[in-house]
Amino acid sequence: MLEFLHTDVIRASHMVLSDITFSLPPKTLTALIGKNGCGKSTLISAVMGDTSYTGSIRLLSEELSSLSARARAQRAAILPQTLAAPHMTVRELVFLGRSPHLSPLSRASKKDTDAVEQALADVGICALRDRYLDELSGGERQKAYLAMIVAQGTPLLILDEPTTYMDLAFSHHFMKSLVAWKEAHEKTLLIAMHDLNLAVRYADRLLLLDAGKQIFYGSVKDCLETNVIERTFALERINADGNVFFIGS
Amino acid sequence: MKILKRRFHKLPYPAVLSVLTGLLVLFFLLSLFCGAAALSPSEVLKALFGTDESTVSIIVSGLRLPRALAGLLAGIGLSVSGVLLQSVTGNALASPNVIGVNSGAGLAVILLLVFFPALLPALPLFAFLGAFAATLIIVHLARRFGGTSTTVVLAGVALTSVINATISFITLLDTDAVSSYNYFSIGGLAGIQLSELVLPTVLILLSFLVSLLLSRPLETLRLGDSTAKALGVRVTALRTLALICASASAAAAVSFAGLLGFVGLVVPHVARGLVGGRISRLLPSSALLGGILVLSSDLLGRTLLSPTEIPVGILMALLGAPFFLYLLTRRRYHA
Repeated sequence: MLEFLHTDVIRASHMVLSDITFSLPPKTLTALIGKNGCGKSTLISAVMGDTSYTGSIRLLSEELSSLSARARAQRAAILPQTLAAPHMTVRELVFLGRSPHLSPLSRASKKDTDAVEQALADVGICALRDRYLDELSGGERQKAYLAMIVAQGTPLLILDEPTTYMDLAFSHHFMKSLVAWKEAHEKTLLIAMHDLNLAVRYADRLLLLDAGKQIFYGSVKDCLETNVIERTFALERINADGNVFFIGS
Repeated sequence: MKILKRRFHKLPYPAVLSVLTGLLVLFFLLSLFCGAAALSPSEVLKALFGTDESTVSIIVSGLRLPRALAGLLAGIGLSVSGVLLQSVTGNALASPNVIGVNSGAGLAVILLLVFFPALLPALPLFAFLGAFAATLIIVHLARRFGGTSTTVVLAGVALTSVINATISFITLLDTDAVSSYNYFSIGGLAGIQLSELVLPTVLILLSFLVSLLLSRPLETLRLGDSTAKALGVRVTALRTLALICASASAAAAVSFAGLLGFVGLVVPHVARGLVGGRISRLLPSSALLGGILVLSSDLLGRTLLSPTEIPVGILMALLGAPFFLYLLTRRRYHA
């Protein structure tokens, strides 16, 4: 799905990520974790084609630099961290998710409107369709944007810290429904996350970065057999009822 | 950014569009039928469709028709430019002035008046080139600084103040040129000939067409640069193309109508109040509203104190600005 091969990412003429190598298998949820400033957002903007890189980044087996911005957006949907709230209805927003599939001259087809309706239903926000973004709560707005990238209809979805502004209960609910949706539609997800407890609980695989270097990539189980997370974040681990929790030491 | 809250936009869009079209046609016809010379409607019609060379025909076809067309075009050009600029910069205060349209045109005109007075008939061309050059420099600078919405505004403010200082300096040196310059800078539609309108018409209609084609990607810009990029929009290229359309269309309007900056700022806001924020709706409705505003102001300006004429620029600022303030108080602002 998404593959980095000895990739260095350069931003403003200095290297921000060095020697990143991983390959996301289809139908998996990978959590991208690491401390603030470790390069999570840079990795995502590299997939967006926003930074130059050496080595290889492959998106559905095609080299990223050879894809146009539109072709890229037809393969991977990316949800940035900060979400604007213009005076626009939820339905209008979700419809913009179809823009990679529409040329300036083409009109929206039934396929596009169906994708919009399906996305609203999948995310469970049909009731919000005519509400304005600037009148929604933070969590509702997050869902509206999620529906937008769902409507984009790409096999790969990348989310940059979607749970940042959610309360604990809502984050769990959000992750659970995301996992269920991923299973039902056979999607591949890469999610940058701050909350390690959510990450080890809901992700299949972990990609751990520290100071621009890749510390670990592999299954959650393999990761927990080592103590890389505790070492990188200087945390302690406790086990309770078969779940792993990280707490400050 | 603060955006005007809708108040009337419960009205369906097609209804708004038909009402605006109706008003535009009405004011266009009134511009042909009313004026300093009292002509009966049948005389006007005969002059419009007849071939005779009577005084009436000269007044109608030679004076009133070009003037009405000029008002219509200037309104469309400046309003469309305003919509594009506000959407591309994400700044509610953006207008053709911000990207140097007025100052660029002003500088070119004052240079013409002072150094090449013999070339006076080429004033519209000079104004257009000045406006277009100034905006291209600003767009280029903004791109070098990263091509974001803020850099466009900052580059515009910086270059505009340099140009305005230059204009003031030249007017100090050559006081004779000042009165002609003043007439241009106020903005007026008197004495325009049809032949002057050919090139502006092409530029304004072309820019309008291109911006309609850009309306979907422009819509994604409302979600912020990074979301637009994530949706596969080439943000810097889009911004540059939209800025070129905005500058061509405003420069074309300024070339024959003078510095009517107010239209480009106000009309998009009023249109937003009527049809909401969608660019694909904002563009046509702003074009119509712009035409209505300039035509009605010009009509009022030449009938109110007839036979004395109030230039459209002055009237628009005197009546339009307070009306705009009134609209602001009627609506709530929200972030």
